[in-house]
Amino acid sequence: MQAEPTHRILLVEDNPADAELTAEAIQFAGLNVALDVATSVEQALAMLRRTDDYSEQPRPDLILLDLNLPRREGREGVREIKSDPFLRTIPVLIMSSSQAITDVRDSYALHANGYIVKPVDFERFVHLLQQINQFWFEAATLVPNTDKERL
Amino acid sequence: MAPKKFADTDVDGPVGFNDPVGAVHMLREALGAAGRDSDAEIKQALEVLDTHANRFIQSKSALENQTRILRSILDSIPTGVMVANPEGQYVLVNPAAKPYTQIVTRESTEPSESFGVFLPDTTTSCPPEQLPLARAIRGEGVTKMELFIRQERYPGGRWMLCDAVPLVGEDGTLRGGIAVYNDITERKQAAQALARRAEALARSNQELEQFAYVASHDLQEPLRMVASYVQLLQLKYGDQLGGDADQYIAYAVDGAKRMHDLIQDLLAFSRAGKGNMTFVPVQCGAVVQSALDNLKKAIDDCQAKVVVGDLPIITGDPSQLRQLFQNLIENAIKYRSKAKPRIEITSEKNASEWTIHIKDNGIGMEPAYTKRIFRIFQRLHEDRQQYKGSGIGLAIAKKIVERHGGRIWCNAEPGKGSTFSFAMPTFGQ
Repeated sequence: MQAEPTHRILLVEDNPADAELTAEAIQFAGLNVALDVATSVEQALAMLRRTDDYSEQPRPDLILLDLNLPRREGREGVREIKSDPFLRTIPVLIMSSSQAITDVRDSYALHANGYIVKPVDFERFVHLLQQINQFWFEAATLVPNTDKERL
Repeated sequence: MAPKKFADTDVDGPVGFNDPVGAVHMLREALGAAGRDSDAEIKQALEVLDTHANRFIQSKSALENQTRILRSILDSIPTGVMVANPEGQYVLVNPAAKPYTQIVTRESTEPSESFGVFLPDTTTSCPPEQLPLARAIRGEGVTKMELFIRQERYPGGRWMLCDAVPLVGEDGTLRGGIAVYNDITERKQAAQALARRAEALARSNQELEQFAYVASHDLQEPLRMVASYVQLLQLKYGDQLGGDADQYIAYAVDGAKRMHDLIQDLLAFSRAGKGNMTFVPVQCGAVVQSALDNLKKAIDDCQAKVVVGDLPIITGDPSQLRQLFQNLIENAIKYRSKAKPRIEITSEKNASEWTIHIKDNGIGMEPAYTKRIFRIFQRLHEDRQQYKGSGIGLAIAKKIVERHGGRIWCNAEPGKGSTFSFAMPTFGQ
């Protein structure tokens, strides 16, 4: 039986296979985190702002955002989150299969907190999630999540 | 025959004063007939007249000769030349200018809407007072003025490059003007065609780049799903699968990873030598050092000895040149023989090029293969364990060299090592 999750991650990913892979990798990595999945930027923003059906939605400690959502939504998502005073303190890590320097530059220019190239290899993906966990949830100090009691 | 009388001669006629030598002769005869040619002063005067008359004939024939030469030049050149007097009437129009008689006439006569001469935008009629000859007659010089002519005669229009100068007399008075028209339609059309092709090429390059990006990125996603889920399958259900499952899964994962590498390499190739190239003087020695630093691990692992000779300064893009040396040195290390690898980098110069040689003591190859190896994804060796990589390094090297206006080639023999050479223009250095 796993312990209560200590942190919450919001994954913004339109490909269900990719989302499930992330969920599996989190399990294999042995992370004690809760994962929410939004399949579009619109849904992610509704969850983050607790509008529509998401009035009870807990605030995540970290956002993993797929850069290559349809209609350049990935970029818009970072822009939206980073220009919202209430949301911008949540770290946003861009997940992308592109290594193009323009994508990397654009992401940081939009104030993403990190840019990560999705590994082809599952085991490396598992390892990567462990590293993300180690850095953001162990090494780094985050803005205290006032929603902690909701977890 | 009775001597001709002065009274009989016609000044404007074909004989008589038309020929000053003949006239002097007639004068001498007439004076002789009157018995006055023995006078010493008259004799002397006649001699002086004779000399002048002869000189006149000589200069007249020289002038005629000169005029003939100029005339035949004017008749044979493709440049239209027209000369007008201060009133705007044509004094001279050479044959090349004849096709534009309409303009010629218009220039000297009244302006009209259907003038047919346009400014370079090809739609604004050229105001008559701005025509080259009209300006020259007013004392203005005109240099390289472009005009577009569209008339019945030229439905597609012709491009003219016009020059004009005022014609000034020795006393400084304006005597008219000269205009020169050069038909530059072909040149102009060629330049336009070239510009169009450059534009099309730029567009197709951009499309290709976009294609490479989109394809590589969109291909990565499904590939990642295949590789990852197959691995996941093994991790979660490996024990429920048959004995061969591990092997099959390994093949599937390996295939997916290799395809991933191929796509990455394809991307790297499409990016190589692209973008903003800076052309600056580059110390090859420093660039080689930086390439060696990047390859330190590979060099240390096989204890390769790299001997770097005197290398020149060449003009190029520093990061691309570093990549070029790195790829060639990496290639030399990868295809090493059993002997301890030794790589020599030397240079030589001829009139217009620097040539750099990267010589190794590796496995070498059949001379027949030395061209093929520069093609993308060409591999000579099937043993992927020993010789990793997709075979993109040399293709990128070739692309970089060619983007610098140079050539790359290889001399090799099996078992005797390979020498990769590239020549780059010295740009006068």
